[in-house]
Amino acid sequence: MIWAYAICDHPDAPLPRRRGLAHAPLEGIAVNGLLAVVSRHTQAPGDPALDALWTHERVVERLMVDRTVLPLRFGTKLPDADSVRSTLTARYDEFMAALDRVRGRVELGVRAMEPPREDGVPPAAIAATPARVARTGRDYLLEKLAHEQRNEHGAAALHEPLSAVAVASRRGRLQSDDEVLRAAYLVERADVARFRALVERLQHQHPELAVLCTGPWPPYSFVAVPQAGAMAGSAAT
Amino acid sequence: MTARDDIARQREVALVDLVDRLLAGGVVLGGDVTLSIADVDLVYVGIRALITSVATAEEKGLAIAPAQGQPFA
Repeated sequence: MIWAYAICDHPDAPLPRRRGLAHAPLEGIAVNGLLAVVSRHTQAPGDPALDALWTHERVVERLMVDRTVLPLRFGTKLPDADSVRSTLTARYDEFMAALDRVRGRVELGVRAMEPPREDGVPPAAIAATPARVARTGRDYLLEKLAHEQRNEHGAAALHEPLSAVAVASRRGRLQSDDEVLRAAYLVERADVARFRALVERLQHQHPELAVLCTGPWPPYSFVAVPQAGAMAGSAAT
Repeated sequence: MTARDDIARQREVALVDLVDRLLAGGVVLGGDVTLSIADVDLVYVGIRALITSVATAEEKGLAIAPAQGQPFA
């Protein structure tokens, strides 16, 4: 079987010597202007252990150094080279258009959280414990609503200025009660430093939040063509 | 928040961001992808457990190899 990492442009450029999953060498399968970067395996190597995720990620990051990439979802397997070719052929225009959208751009991730308090109890846990904050169910619900509104206000105060520096942005589903914002931004390479400086400034303006920025990532959150708007978790809803 | 908590938290952010992107983002080719969304949620749970145990081990002075491949280390 074939494990696929990414689709890129410049099919004539030599592939990096970096190894893929299970130390398999990388191969390219080209259709006109498109190249799928893959490795061949007799057994599926796709157990999502952390080192496998990082291996996949590093292949895609390495490709991103000298070409434009459409990262494929981890776990993309095809039976043989012919099925890779027929997929590239069938969706050629779609992939070319997606490459044009992300060319020269990278993805930055921003997540904002309420830090745990000094006593170690996360703020969300307090809001979720009616006895500690309110006497009645109604008070509890009002407190919970106020908490959510504060969080949404905080999220917008970060998301709006960051979006202004980005070409595109996606907000993801929050994964835990202490998360306030989980978002991805597609940013011109030339604007990455400016974006990071803005994150620092926003952190300074919002000392009540922990604002963390990761990247540059391959544009995972901006290439999901059929399921539009699917940054990460939002695909589940 | 102690420096150790801070480091553990930053690691968690990098890992969760990685899982977000690789398991729920990216182009989907055909139907043959390893994980369903429900499985992805399980991976998050696993990561939280992992981070907690790393933070606890460090608190007790045990050496833990740093997480591989921090995206912008």
